Amino acid sequence: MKKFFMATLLSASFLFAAEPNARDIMIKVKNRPDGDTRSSSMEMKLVNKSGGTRVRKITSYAMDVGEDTKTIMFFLYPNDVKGTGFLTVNYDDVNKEDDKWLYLPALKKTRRISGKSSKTDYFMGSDFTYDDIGKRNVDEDTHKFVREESANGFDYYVIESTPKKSGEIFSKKLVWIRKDCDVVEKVEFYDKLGKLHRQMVASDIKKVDGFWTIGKMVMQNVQTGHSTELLFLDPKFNIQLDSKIFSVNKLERGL
Amino acid sequence: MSRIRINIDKVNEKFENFAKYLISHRLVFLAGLLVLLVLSVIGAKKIYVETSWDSYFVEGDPMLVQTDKFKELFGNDYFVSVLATCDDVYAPENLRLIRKLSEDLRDNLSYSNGTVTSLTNIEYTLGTDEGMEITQIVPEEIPTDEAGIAEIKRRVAAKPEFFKKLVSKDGKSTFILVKLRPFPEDSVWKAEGKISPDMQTGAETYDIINKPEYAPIHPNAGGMPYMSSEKMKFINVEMGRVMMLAMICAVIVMTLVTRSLRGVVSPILSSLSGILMTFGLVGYLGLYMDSTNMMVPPFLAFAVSIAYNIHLYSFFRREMLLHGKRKDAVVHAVRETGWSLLFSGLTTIVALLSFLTVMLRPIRSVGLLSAISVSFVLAVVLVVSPILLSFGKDKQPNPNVLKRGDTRMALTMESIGKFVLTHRGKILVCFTIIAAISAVGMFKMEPSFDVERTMGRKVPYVSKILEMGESPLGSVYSYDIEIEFPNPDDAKKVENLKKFDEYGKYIESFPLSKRLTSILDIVKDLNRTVNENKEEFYRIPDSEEQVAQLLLLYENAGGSESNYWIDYDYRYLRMMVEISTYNSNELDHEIAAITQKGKEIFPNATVSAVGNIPQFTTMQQYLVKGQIRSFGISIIIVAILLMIVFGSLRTGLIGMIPNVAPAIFVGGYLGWMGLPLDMMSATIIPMVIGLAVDDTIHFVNHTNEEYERSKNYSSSILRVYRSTGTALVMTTFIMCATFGGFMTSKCTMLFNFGFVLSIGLGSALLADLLVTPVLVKKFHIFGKETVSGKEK
Repeated sequence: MKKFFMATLLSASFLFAAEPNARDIMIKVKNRPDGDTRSSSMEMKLVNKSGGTRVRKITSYAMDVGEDTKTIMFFLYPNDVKGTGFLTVNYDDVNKEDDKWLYLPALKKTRRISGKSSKTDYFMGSDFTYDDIGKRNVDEDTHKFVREESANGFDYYVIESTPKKSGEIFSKKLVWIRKDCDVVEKVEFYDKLGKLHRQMVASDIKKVDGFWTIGKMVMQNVQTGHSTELLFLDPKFNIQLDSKIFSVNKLERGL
Repeated sequence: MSRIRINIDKVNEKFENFAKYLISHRLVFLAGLLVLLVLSVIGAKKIYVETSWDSYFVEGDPMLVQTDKFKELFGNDYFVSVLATCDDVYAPENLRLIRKLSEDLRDNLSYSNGTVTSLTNIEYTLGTDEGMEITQIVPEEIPTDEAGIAEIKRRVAAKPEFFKKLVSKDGKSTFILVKLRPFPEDSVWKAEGKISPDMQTGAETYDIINKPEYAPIHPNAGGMPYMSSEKMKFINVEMGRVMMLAMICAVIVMTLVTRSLRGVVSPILSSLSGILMTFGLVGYLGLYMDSTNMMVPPFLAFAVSIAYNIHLYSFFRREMLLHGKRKDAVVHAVRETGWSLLFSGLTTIVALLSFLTVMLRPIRSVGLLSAISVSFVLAVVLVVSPILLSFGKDKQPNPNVLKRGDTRMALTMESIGKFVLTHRGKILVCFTIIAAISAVGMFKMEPSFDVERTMGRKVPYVSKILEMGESPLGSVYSYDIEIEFPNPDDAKKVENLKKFDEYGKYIESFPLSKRLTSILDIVKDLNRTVNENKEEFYRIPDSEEQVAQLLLLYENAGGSESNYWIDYDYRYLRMMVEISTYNSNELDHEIAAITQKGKEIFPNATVSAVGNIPQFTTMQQYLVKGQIRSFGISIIIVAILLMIVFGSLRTGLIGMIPNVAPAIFVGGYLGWMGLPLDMMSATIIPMVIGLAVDDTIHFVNHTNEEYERSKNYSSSILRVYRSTGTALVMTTFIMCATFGGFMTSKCTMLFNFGFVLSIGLGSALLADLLVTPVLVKKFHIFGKETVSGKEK
């Protein structure tokens, strides 16, 4: 799961390099190893301007099948959505629509979801867009190497990524990549007026089972004062997973 | 009662010395004025003009606090809406244009939140036998064949509740809605020297919808940012035109009346200086200024500047004609008019400052800025005008004037005075009857803030906006009903949602309610979607868990609208009620009934109405109460000042009669003619008092002086007719000509301002020429006559 989110953020920053090495760096970030299977629990905390919070807890399992990825996730908290599950198959082929199923325990119904929602929509009321956490293609942005930077004992590449298409909610973003582990540690998103709109900071970056992983990500909308905190707990890589758990049957029965 | 009187002679002597000092240091004073003007120009560049209704409320006002809280919960309640109209919105070429326009608005409005709702750009969640499909009504590739278009129509028909908000039944018009992200704090964009976010959004909307390529779908925009920006544009152009015209009228009339270059230049110079200094101060201090009535202080400054200068000039001119010695004439004019000008200026300032008691910022601002302008004008008139008059050569006395004993106009005024003194009874009866009729009319005045009645349909942008509001899809005004439950999660309880649904039906039954939007639209639609699109499931689900899971599904499918209708902690519910037209009385009644019903349905919750319309209602209450208070305060303070200056309670009270009368006449006129009491007309009544009192002060003050010399009322009054009467007629005539420029405006509010103010000034002149002398003589306000008319 964590990898799922990380990959999203990282890939969000890739693309065409205006300077040759910028794109190479982004590709390297995207291809950072994360094992064939993985699991984690995620706690998502939404905090609004006045300090009100909304917490959601999710557990997830993922498995790579060739270039594609299967993911199953269940809501554990709050109680009124407990047991709600999502099963997805993300295809590497951008032209192939993902398969998605949803199980709503209160209605005892599994629904197959076809079509796709806008990538610029915010994910589950959070400050992360589907693009931020999902599959933004590297070549959807133009990348420019800005500078190298050192801080907190680490060296970083700073890359500026500008979307090629209109209709994006950001005009550009600045991405800080840690050189030692190819992990994106900070992203600044600028709005159409060129003002800082959102800022993502990753922390608790460590090696687990030999894979670099992020323990916490915070996205703050500096304009609205709203923020989202994602905590990745108990990440595991290359675990034993039965491919049968990625099924509608399992979705309905729960963990 | 013993009289503590100001020794007018001593005061006049001081003014005489002051005039001599001015003339001997005239170049220093002129240089000082120049420096002040340069500083003012620099300050004036820092001015920011408010245009939004939100800024009307003073900080900490309960209505403002409630609106701010509402915005914090539900985000920016401003939006941009566009109504596109054509023969057939489903025609492929029109669908293409609608999509292009939708995306243009979404991508190019700086404050767009990145999503647009329109027929061509809306996510459509359709329940199928095996699940649900998230798709678009109009495919990426717009179909050109009949089957493709028929499929679009089928999808629209499948969700009638949803699409009645987007497409008209006849398929000729469609609605596009762009939500806006929260605007930054004022301090942020002001620091960057940018225009306000709502103005920017309005201007960008205008540019987009007016691109030639969209002409076939006739886009017409709505929403508060667009309305504010169009209003600002209109006011800027119209004010420039009206002010220029008024200025030309004033100059022509002043030239005819004074027949002197100085007679024209002095008022213009002092008013421009006063206005510029006021604007400079506004810029330096960051004072509030509102687009609706920002022209009032300059105009008032112009009017009082003319009045003060003409008074000074008429005394100067009379002396010049009689003896021709320029500097002596200036000193005499300042000696004779200085105190009257200072005192009348003071009363005008006090009357204007009474606006500060009104809890609306535009009214307060008009009062404060006008008072500052009048202060500056007064200072310039007392200091600079005598200096200007002092330049030039002495002249020979005018033989005709010497032969006649006075100017022709002065002699005409004297004969009017004789007529008045011989018809005192009849004049008082007529005055009483007219005042009584006007007083009745005053109670018929109706406060009103709607754009149609205050601006008028003749104004092009108003006509367009109203047209949109009257169309089947569009709406101009809306209000929100907010329900605050005692505990978090209460808002998603099925029981409460069902009550909310019933409540919506009740609200919808009112004649003005056009369209409701709430979280129920989303919940019901999703419930139907997950139940294979069966129509019977277009209802609130059976359990709270189902509601929670449907909302989660909605969010997970990328839906972000729910945050607009239900708050974070599920404690607040919001229902937006769009209305077809604005009728203040009907709406007041409806909103009162709706909130009352809400309190009955949700006894443990707080039900309140927020948004533009409740803001209007609150403003009306503030305006009516504030106007009465301001009127009362200005009367009391002016009366006290009159009592002090004339040294008598009785004289002060009698002096108030001709001052209050014009205000009653104006109020009566507004009431009988059915003219609305809006921001502009509400400022007129206290202003009329402020200006009318000047005439009374001049008249009574000079009568007092003459009486001290002659001890006979009739002869004193006739002498005052010759000197002051002439000046009063000239000033009123010029001021009416100036304000008359407003009557050329298509905008009702501006027309009424010019017309009603002219009525006020005209009636103030008549009251002072016809009633004041009668009262002075009848009540012997300066004591018993010691010299009879015959002896005199």
